[in-house]
Amino acid sequence: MRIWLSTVCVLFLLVTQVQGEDKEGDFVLMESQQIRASIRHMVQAGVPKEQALKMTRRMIQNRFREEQVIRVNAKIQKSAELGLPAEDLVDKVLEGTAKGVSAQSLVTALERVAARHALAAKESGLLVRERSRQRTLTRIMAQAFAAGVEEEDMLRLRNQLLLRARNLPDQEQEDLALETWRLTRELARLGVPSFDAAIMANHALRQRYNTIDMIRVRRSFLKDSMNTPPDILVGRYSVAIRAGADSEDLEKNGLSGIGGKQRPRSSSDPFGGGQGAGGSEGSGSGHGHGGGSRGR
Amino acid sequence: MKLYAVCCFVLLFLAGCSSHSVKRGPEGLQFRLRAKDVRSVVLHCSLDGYLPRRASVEENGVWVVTVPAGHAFRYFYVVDGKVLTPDCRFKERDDFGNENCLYVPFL
Repeated sequence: MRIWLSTVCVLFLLVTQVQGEDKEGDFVLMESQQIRASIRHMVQAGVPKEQALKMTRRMIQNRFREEQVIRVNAKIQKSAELGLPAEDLVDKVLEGTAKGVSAQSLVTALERVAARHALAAKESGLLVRERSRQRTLTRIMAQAFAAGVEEEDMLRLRNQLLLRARNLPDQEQEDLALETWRLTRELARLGVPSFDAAIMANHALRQRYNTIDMIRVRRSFLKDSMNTPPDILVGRYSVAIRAGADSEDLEKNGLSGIGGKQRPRSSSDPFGGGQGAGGSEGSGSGHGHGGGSRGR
Repeated sequence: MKLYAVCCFVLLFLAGCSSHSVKRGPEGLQFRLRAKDVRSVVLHCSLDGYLPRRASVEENGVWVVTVPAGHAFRYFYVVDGKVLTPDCRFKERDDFGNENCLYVPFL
């Protein structure tokens, strides 16, 4: 019994040692002291070691020169130190190496990713206080930017969300911000121009759509976009929402099914919430954003 | 009328050259790309850090590759060494001057 137990222990130790050597071996593969140091710095900045090794290995496989690898690694390290999600940056490096792009293109792309996340993080902090929700909103907003939402339209939405937030409890404010941005992101991903996507979401906010309404509108739009081009559909949705279309009707029956049922509106609507309110974009917002059509 | 018919034919022909579809099957998501007269089709997706997944060719120049279903991910093809973003429902900019397709599972 003792011999058997000892054998198992020895085997276990051997296996764990070999695994450890394999991990260290990854460092050995990268002969350059400077590359190894750059990996260490990335890991210290919060990039998972496995990810740091993986992306560095890919760059070496793609025949990036030593200084190019170090430059990319330094970029990731810097971004991770600023609190930007390392995962997305590493993902961009892996994507770039799979596409065979140059080191310079990779650095430019990383700068774009970092800039998007920095802007999204700043803006999400204005709308959401709770940390994990803030991270979620940051990611959704960054994805929306990647899909084509422009800063000007983001500001338009932010101001409308802040106006709506005045009369809402914290939790509802944050949920509404998250769902408004989910809707905007999906519209942009479907190819709806940034301006049109923001206008539609803005109309929904003005008509006092709540979190559930936003979810319903998103689902309904996704369903309807199977049969109608999204860039055409967005105009129809904007008109319907502005006219007070009921989101439950939209979700059940799509745009074609909305009947006479309209959303109940409060007389104390601070967003000019009467029938046809928002005929000119930005009316009643008080923030000076969105003065009519941008003429895109 | 003749011109219209010719245009339709050309469009159909071009669409047939590299049409793309995703189908959910028992083994996962089946990506199908119609690409005639090409030597290799590789799918890259963010699920596994964009590792190359070689597609196998079926009849009529349809290349097929299966990936696990479940999460949302980005993807693109490399056809004969050239990056190809097929016509797909959800897209985003890739920061390299092109676009990526997005697979969103619940849609």
